[in-house]
Amino acid sequence: MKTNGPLLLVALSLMTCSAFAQVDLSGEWSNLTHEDVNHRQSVEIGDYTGLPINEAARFKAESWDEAVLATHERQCIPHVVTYAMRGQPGNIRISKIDDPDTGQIIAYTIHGTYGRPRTIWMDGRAHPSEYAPHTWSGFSTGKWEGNALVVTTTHIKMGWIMRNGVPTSDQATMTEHFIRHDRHLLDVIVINDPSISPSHSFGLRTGDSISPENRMHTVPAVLLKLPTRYRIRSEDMFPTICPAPIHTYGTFLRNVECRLKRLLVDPRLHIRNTC
Amino acid sequence: MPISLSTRIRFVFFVLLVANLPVQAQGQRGAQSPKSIAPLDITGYWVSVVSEDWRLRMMTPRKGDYESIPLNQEGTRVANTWDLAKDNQEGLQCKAFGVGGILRQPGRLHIEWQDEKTLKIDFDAGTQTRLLNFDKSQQAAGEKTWQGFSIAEWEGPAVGRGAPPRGNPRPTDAGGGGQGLRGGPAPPNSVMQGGSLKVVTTRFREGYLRKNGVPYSENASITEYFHRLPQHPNGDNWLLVVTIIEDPKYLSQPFYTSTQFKLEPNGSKFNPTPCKTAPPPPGK
Repeated sequence: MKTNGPLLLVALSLMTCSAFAQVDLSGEWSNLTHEDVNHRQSVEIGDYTGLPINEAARFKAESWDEAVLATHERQCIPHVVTYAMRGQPGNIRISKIDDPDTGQIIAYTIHGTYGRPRTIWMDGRAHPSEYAPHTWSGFSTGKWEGNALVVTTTHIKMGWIMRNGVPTSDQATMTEHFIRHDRHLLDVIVINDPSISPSHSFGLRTGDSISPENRMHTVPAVLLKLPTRYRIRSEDMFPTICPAPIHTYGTFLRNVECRLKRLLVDPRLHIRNTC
Repeated sequence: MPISLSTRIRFVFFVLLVANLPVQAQGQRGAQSPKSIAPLDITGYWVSVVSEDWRLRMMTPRKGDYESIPLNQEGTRVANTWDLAKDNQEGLQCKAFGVGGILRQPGRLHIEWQDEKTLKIDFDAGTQTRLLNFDKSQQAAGEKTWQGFSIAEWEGPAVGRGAPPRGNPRPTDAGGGGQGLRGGPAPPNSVMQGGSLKVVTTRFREGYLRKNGVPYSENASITEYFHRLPQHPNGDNWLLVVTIIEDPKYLSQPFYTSTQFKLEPNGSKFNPTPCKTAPPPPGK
């Protein structure tokens, strides 16, 4: 017995050491703004540089008027998930939800500065029918591939990619890859939207018979990213305020804002005098 | 017939050893060549997709435009002394194509195995070549170069109970599981499937983070992670490179960028060009 005890301990330690290599995404993450800063906050009207959009998307963007968000009936509209994950300041909190019986992680939740809370289901459930309601945060499922959490989001309301109106349709699919290296977490966001992509995209459905070589040139994806650094204090999380003060909607509309302030005197709008 | 205590312990020990075989197998793989145990294939021709920082990467930004780079006072001072004509005169045209900035240049990469222990990356922007050495016993020799000396290592995906499932799970597979626990997917053929490539580079010459003379010093620490994302439903194959540059001389905090490339069917569009920086647009 004395000779077998240490061997048993060695075997047990060998058995358990690998369990510590798990990727943990939970915690509070602060936004890093080392790239694409302008596109993630107060982007200029008409600046669509780098985005593979078609004429319809351009037309839609050029008719965009962010001032509509200041109207009474639209003040509680949050940022849609295709923008909320990148918008400034973009701090997020990722939490785990586990099954109380098995201890398995059945979902992650993401609370962010912008947008609505998200739930990423990890329990293998299917996405709902295409006729199911579309929401601002969509319906998300996740699975691990290698050391990345791959999240697929569908059922997203028609929305925007940037605050100058570059649109996404309700046909958009958002695929994310959450990749962690030490204190850094990167959310790689790929948006596939047949309605805003250039030619060849209309009518293309999953399962259509096309050669792999051709597929590489069809339905261009918009690839964007949210880099974050671990860890911020909980006090740094600023939930979206509703109704939102008009001054939060971008400095590029400052002139419009000032004109509105002169026209609107309703104190419920919480308008600050910054003109 | 009663079973003795020592026999029982030996049986338990045997079961534990068998259960631990995948970990041992991973250790044995360490003796194989880096090429043969590669957890991801990043070889091929890749084109840079500039969907972010387009204005700062596709053209030379104006002098003094250091948007989003965490420069300290010294970094700002040095960046403000940038003189493109002087660089050209002194034969320093490749300063913007060094290891700290080359991945942000628009263009194409050709990645291939030079031998069993070395990955080679050719860039058509500036006609540069990087060698990623997996042999840690190798030492940098000679003068510092634009691309420096890179040591590479594979980083496998998380393993063990409760870790993300490995392999190619079915669309209905849930997360969690692993190691044959109920609800987890079947174990994959390759223990190291997935993962990333970590590269640490030293012994490089001072260069530019951006074309408009934003500096990094030769004593900076440059760490990169190469990822190949799973193929997207539309057929796209993406290579993602995370770059972390720590440079107390010029930066106030680590400079973190990520750059994406899309796989091309062949090298017909790979077009090497010399190091050349276009002048910034006139005016303020």
